[in-house]
Amino acid sequence: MVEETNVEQSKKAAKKEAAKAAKAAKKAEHKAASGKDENQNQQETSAEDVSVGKYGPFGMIQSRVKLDERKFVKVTELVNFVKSKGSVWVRGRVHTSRAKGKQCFLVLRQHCSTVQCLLSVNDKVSKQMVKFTGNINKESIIDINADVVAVANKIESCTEQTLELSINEIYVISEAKAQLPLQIEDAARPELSGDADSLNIRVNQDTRLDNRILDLRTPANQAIFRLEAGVCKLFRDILTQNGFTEIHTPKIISAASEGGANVFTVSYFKDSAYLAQSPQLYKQMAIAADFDKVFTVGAVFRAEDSNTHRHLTEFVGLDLEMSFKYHYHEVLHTIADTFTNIFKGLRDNYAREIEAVGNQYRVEAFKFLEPPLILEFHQGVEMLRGAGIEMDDEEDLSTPNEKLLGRLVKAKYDTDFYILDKFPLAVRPFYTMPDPNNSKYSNSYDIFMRGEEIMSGAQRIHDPEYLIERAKHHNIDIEKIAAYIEAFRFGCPPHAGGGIGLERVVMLYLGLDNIRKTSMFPRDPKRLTP
Amino acid sequence: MYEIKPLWNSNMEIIDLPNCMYQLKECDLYQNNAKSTIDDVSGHEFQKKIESILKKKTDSCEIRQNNLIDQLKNLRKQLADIRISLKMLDLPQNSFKDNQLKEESLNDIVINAHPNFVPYALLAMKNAWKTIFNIKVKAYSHSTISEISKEATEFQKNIEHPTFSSDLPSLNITLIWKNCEHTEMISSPTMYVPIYGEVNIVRFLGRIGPKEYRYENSILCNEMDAVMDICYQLLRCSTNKARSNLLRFLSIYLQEKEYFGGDSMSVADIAVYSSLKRLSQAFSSKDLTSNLKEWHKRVGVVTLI
Repeated sequence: MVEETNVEQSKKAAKKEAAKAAKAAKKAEHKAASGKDENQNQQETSAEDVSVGKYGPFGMIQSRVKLDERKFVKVTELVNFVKSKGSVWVRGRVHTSRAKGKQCFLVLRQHCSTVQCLLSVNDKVSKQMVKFTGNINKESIIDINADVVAVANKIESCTEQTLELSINEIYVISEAKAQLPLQIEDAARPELSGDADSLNIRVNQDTRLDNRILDLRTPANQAIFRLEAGVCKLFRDILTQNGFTEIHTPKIISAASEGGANVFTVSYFKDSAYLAQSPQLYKQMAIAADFDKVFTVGAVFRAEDSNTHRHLTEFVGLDLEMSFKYHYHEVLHTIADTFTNIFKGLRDNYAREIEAVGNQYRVEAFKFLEPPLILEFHQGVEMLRGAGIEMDDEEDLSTPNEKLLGRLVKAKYDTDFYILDKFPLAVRPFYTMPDPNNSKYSNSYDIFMRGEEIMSGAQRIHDPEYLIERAKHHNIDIEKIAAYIEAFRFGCPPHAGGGIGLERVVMLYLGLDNIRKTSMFPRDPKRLTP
Repeated sequence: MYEIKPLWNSNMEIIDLPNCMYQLKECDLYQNNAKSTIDDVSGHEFQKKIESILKKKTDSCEIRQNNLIDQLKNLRKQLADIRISLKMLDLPQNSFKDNQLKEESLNDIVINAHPNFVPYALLAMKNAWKTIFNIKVKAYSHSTISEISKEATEFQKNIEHPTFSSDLPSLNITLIWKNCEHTEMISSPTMYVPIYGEVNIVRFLGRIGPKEYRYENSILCNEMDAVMDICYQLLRCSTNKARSNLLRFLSIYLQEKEYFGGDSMSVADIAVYSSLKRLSQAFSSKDLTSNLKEWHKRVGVVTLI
């Protein structure tokens, strides 16, 4: 296979001379192809090196050979190979490597998992090979052929604690620069380590975001985005099972869809257009077009110049809208059950990811009740008053009160997820259906995770005349919402819905402190790159 | 050893009192006492003297207190007048009606229970109070529990089953199946500490429930408390021997009475009955003494579990 004529050459290659390395590899391959006697030649030129051909740069892969006989094993599955005789192939990154005299310890990382590899000089392994291994730059991608060996003492520093790999062959597939803008170890260091002696080096948020590719390699980030995909998948699966249809709504629109919030203007040929800040109107039009139950997953834009821990200018919206028979609680319970099932799915299928995030950020597990707790707004107000807060019946929850209520609910019911139903009419948008039994309240609800609002929804008014009446009551220019009202002119079933921000849900589910941690390439007022 | 210097000079007789505080009047009693010993008055006279002094003191105290109460009444009347003049006619209600602990914030009580330790007392209480008090229960399961046991499911079905009549006072209970060590009750996290143990929850509900079940004024109050303590131990004991020992105690407490509370059902009966129900796998009814057996039948008719 890959063979090196000269150790010196391999050293140079290790010094980032990629071109040379490629050349050397090609040469080596030619030699390998041309016959066995090459082997003998080599042994003559460097007689001491017994492991020639078992290490070195592999060269740029141009799909020259297939090497189907190499069976690669995932690091997480190595446990199954402890007792088997043969060796295994593993591809991963060099997490750390440390050559110490005749031995070299190398930690191989594959996604969230790490495994310790050992190489020591013996009759099959030469000094040069150990030296080469010790000099591979961190974060380089390597292929190794190794025996899986069980260890007596647990290896605390790796995720695979019961075994290590004894290296037979090692090749560099893609080399990383020697100088990294941030160390993965630093970026992955637990935030609250109880150990006072341990290193206290952290990577700040902006450095992380500037070098997002490296930052994303930390076990916690790997887990976060796999979990985020899980939320999306569960949302789709559960709703599809419940008879929902996925729709796609336009993101370039002619007018602001939701009254007040700021919109981005984009030039649209000779005119200007806006970026959608909510798919709500389109969801409702789909309902009016007899799709009964719809959901959509897509980008949503908010031109709000707020630099907080929970605002992004672009995020992924998971929105749903559903027609109902007689009472909007049919919808509320569907939404509630969807959330419960998402949480259960995450708890049962993503335990490994949640643990990986927990290792770095040490957060409490997300707690919820089944069925979810639904409190009425006035009950919430009573709880707040019981805690000494003075507020009006019809007052909206301020951010501190919202947080406090979350803490009260958590203390009493021990749940991080709850729904507040029947909000005061005065604090909701004009299209919200008022409560027929009490004109002070409305058929609207907010959903909270860890004391922060994640979804705000309501039964929408589906009667055009009543909609006009309510809009006038709110002093809204009827002209501007003519298209919205028009959508209900041809008969529309009663419906309700709501939307959540994917990043925010993941952030709160994991108990992280910043939404930028759960957006792969976040956009905020101060960041457009990468 | 070294000798320590005295920390304060004992010869110093006058202590400098800070003048920023009020000075306490010298105690009359002590003065008189001192005088009388000097005068060498006989013990009888001395006692009389003390009594007269004390009487004087208490009388003056009483007068002062009465004055204060009068003033308070006056103030209350004034406030009521103001209310009426402002047309706020909801006159202050007596919150301790029928000696009942009535707390506004208790309108929803959370009870956390492990599905393997079903709090049968709640169901027993709900059924026993059917005609006098509503207990409305809504059950949830917490994320720390992935599956609830068959008994718990059955129990949940029974306890959530609505059997209310609207004109009765009622209590809302949120039952949460949770992986917790004790059955615990949380009424208001900001005002009260949680109550642990099923028996103690029974005690608490007995105080806020219908007046027929309040037992503090019963002559058997102490006995009933003791019985409920036995229930607590009964649920925690691990050996058969200890268990039968406790059952014997219960039998002694019951004697030939109809119920632990005397002639009528009490919270103690509910506590014992539900504890026995929870232990029903561990022993059969033939382990019970004859009086307990009779009692068990009697109570079973009321609690329906």
